[in-house]
Amino acid sequence: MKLIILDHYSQASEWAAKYIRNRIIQFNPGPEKYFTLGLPTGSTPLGCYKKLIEYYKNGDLSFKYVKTFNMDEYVGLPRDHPESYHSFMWNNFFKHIDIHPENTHILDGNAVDLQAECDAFEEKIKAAGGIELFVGGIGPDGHIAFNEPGSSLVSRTRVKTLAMDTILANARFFDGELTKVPTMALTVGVGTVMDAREVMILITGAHKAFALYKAIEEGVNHMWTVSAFQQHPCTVFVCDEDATLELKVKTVKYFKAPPQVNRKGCIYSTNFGM
Amino acid sequence: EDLWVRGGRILDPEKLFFEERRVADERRDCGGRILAPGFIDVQINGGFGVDFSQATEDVGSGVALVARRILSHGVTSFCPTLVTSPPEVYHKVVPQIPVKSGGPHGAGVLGLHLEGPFISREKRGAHPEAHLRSFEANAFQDLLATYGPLDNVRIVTLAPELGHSHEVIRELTTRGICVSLGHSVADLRAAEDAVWSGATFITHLFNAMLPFHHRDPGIVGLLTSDRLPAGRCIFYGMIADGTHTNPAALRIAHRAHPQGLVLVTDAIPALGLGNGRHTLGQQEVEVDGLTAYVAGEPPDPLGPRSQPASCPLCSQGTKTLSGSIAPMDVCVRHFLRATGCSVESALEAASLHPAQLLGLEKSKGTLDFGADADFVVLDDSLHVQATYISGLVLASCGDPAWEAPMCPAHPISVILPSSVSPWPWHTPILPEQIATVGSDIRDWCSPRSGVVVLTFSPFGFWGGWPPSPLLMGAVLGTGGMCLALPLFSSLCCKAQLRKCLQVQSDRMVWAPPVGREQPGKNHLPRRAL
Repeated sequence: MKLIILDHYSQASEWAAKYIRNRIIQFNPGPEKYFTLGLPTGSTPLGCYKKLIEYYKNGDLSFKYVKTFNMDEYVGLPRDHPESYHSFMWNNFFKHIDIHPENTHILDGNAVDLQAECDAFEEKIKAAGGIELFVGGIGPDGHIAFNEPGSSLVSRTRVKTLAMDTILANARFFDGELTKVPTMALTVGVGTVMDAREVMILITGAHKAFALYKAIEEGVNHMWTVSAFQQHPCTVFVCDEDATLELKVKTVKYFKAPPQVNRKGCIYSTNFGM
Repeated sequence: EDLWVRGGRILDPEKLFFEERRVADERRDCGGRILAPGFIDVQINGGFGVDFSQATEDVGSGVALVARRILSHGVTSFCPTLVTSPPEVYHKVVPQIPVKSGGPHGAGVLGLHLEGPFISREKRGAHPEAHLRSFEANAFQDLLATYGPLDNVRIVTLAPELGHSHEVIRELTTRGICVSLGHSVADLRAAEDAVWSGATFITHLFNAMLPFHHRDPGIVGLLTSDRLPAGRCIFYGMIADGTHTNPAALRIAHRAHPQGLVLVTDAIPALGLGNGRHTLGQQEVEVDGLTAYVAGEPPDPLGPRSQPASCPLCSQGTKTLSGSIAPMDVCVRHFLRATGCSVESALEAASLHPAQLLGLEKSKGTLDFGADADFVVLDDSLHVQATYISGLVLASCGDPAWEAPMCPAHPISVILPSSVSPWPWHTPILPEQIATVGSDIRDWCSPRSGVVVLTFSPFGFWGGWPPSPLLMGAVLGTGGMCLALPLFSSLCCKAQLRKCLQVQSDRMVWAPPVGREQPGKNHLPRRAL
């Protein structure tokens, strides 16, 4: 695991965006070889998306040969509802870049047969050749996507009922009305994300600090589903200072080595220009 | 933010993305310019030598000429106005000016504005006294006898102090015709009663009505009256040409009731023609610069400047103003300068408010999804760069990069400043090249044929940041932003259905409907410039 600690949210977002950009460029996607990217939603990746849009507008990056797979979507929410994840991805990312709609994949929470929709999603990922880089966030309860505490660590894409914590956290987007918040969601499973060749988790803010502690300093536990990535061969955790507040000083010092060491001492095979 | 157009209407791109899984068929980069709904002129008596109140044999071609020429002023819809005329004129002219959608032929006709003859004698202004009328006992029948069938009529201006006016106002309102108060000596009470009967508009505020008086504000008092029906917004036309109203008076009206202000030109046939004598209905008028007066006695023998130069009314001819010759975009710029209001307010006064007055705010005066794709591209000083109706560019001026063929058979060409674009196909197609494709082009151009998405420079910044020309150049140079028009011409046009045009702009000025104004979550957010 690599733990990248930056000082502020904006730097963390920029680091993550640069990482994605460089991975895509190195992969050199083309019409025969698409770069498959897994994408999250929520407030944490917003800065990263803004930066990616900037790189696209500067001409440094093109999403023409990039396929995206989103992690989750609410069940029962109309697709054009301002809080649906379709709207989120459209407004915050897709409408600003040159990705072709055929290459974007988001679970459909209004499908007639939800499990069939989930199975089809797994098939699409397989058909695309698996995911090169899965970007994700973490919940305050340590969940990845909507894999709430207690989710199987080898789960696949399926329907999940949301935990009370999550519903409360989401209420602010629905005018504070708990009855308006969706209670179910389609989500990729922990196993689905583990199948990706590389995983990058963005964690910013003090409210995520305890979850980060549980994810990397404690054992693998289905109550903190992000901890499953301790068993992934290639994981990067990108966080800001606030998110490290619950970690041991020793851990932070180890990962916060001076920039030169980061460039050479870590197992990066390339220089990411940081 | 980008504006997407298809089939002459503004399209929701999110639906296109997720449901149809399509991208734009054509993109246009408008280089950081302002994109606003097209202007709507609800009071225009003619222009370019055409007088709507003249009962000529071919009224239609006169209207068509004006409709085409006002496109360069940014006007996409208008209400041809007839001044006080004898009934024969109405019977001849009114049926010849039907409601018509805008298109390659010119701006759309929303319906006629009949100003008079049921107006006050004292405040007739430039209207000929001989043809003024009042309502007899059978008031509405009298009106019908004067005007003829009212199918093409959209607005009627009358004086509410005339007897039987209330039943007329009520009858007109039930027929969906907007009643306007003007050329009247009504006091505030009479005006309020008229509003209760259904009047919704005031014709050129301050002009041809009693002046504001602190104990009886007259019609002007409607702007701040508290005795109007609840929820009713009273609209008022203002001629912001610098002559009809002193800027201070303009500011007073704007500050008192900004949501009701409707910019009108009240343009006369002399619009677009130069100085000299022209006609307006049965009257002769004299044009001097941006001012027009009823032609009166010969000029003062001491010379036109013998009067104190500061008073704009003491020039040759009479002191009676007679319409205006300031085009709509001049009015908008003058209004902006005189009131110091925001650019959005100035543009709304020329687009959204007239649409609201006529009950058309869902399809005109807005850039909302589903609205008609009538919009204008403006530079920072609000000079019209291009005018679009139903998504087709119909007039463009100024910047040579925006030059587009004016022929109705021409599709939208891909426009980029050629100095920046490295690709050879990024040049406007010449008319000769298109003419050969013939009917194929017409299919492509038909309102049903294409989604047109205009792309602006994505570097137009919100919140007052200046757009960076360097970044814009970089964007334009990266390629992939515009599809080649030769690509289009080599395609079988008939097979193309529902093409999409994408307008990229971060400087769209319009008011999203209530409930969609969520910061950061709007589809087409309203932003300050």
